[in-house]
Amino acid sequence: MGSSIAANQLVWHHDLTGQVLDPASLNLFWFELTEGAYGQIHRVKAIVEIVDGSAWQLSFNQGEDPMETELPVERWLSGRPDRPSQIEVVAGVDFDPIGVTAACRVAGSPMRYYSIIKPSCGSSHENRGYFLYSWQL
Amino acid sequence: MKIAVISCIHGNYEALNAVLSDIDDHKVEQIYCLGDLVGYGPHPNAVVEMVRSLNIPTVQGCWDEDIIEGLNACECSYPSILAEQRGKLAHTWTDQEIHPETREFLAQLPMTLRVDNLAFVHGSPNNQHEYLLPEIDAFTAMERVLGTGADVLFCGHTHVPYVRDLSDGLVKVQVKRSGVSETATQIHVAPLKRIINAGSVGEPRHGRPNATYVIYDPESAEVKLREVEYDYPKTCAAIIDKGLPAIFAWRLARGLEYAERAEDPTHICER
Repeated sequence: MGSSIAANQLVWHHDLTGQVLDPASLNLFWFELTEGAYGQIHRVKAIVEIVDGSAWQLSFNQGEDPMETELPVERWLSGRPDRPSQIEVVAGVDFDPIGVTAACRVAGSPMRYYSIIKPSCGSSHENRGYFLYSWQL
Repeated sequence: MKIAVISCIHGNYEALNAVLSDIDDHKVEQIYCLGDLVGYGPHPNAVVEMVRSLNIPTVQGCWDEDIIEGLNACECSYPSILAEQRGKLAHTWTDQEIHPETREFLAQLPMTLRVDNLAFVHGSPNNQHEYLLPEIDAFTAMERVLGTGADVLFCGHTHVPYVRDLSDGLVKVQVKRSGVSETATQIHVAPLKRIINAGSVGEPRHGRPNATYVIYDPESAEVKLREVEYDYPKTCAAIIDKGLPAIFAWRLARGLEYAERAEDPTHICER
């Protein structure tokens, strides 16, 4: 993250280590974040883990298209990933960190969500192996 | 005799009022409503009371059903965990907010209405939760219309209005039963059939906050897709004031719909 932060901007970051995100929720959240649903956003950088074990770098600069790049690291296929994962935002003063934190929290789901509470009727969620993973709410 | 068809109001009283005013300006003789009176929006009781007081013939939408029956769909109803969590929040809020008489009204709504050669449903004739998208394959589209026995099928649920003409349609159904050598065959040749989606009054998904509905003239078969501006900031403020998620207001203001569609919109939950 660059060092030039204006007086009317703030830097906010949130540790995501150990969390595994549902790709569809991540897409929804990433769209809303970069479109200003949680306040004006100047820059975002994030490293996130998703359910197929891959890690992705997300990057956004105001006025540019958001970028998502898969990182060249081994897929984490056993248990909760134990490597750095974080989101960092340079935002305007209207930024809603509580909303972002809540969205990040919900974008993941514990294993019991799919395997116990909501047994599937054969949807694509199950086919993508969501139930194999868990992460903290 | 022109009719107006409205759908998917979702507790958005401001949008409903604006649409009813617009309908008044078009000399419409009858209004039909395709359901989803409640859900996500901040004024479910007021919307139901308005529809009831105007004696608008109404079918039951998926949200209306879920409020009566309780949520019983699997994750197939939502494209993501985030969308599902929002849907559940909205369901819980609405369930606590609505009055007993609102619930009673929603419970007695029929699944379909049939008037002359017109049929009215929320999602499809099969299920309130099934989406008839404009790009759905022609066979499925024709089967859904033929299933009603009508020539024109009005539906909502997708929140995007459209008109789809099905001309020179032929549906051939062959059934081969085990132990029976003969194959039973039925052929339905259909003249012009039509699917008209009324869009959404209170939760548009066409990239603008404006309400949409349809005016139809059965004599000339002319269809007008109406788009009506309304005081959506007032609805957005009510969403926040009533404690619904602020993200609903943000999405409503951009014509994004509160929750996105399921990945396979034609999938019908088997529960």
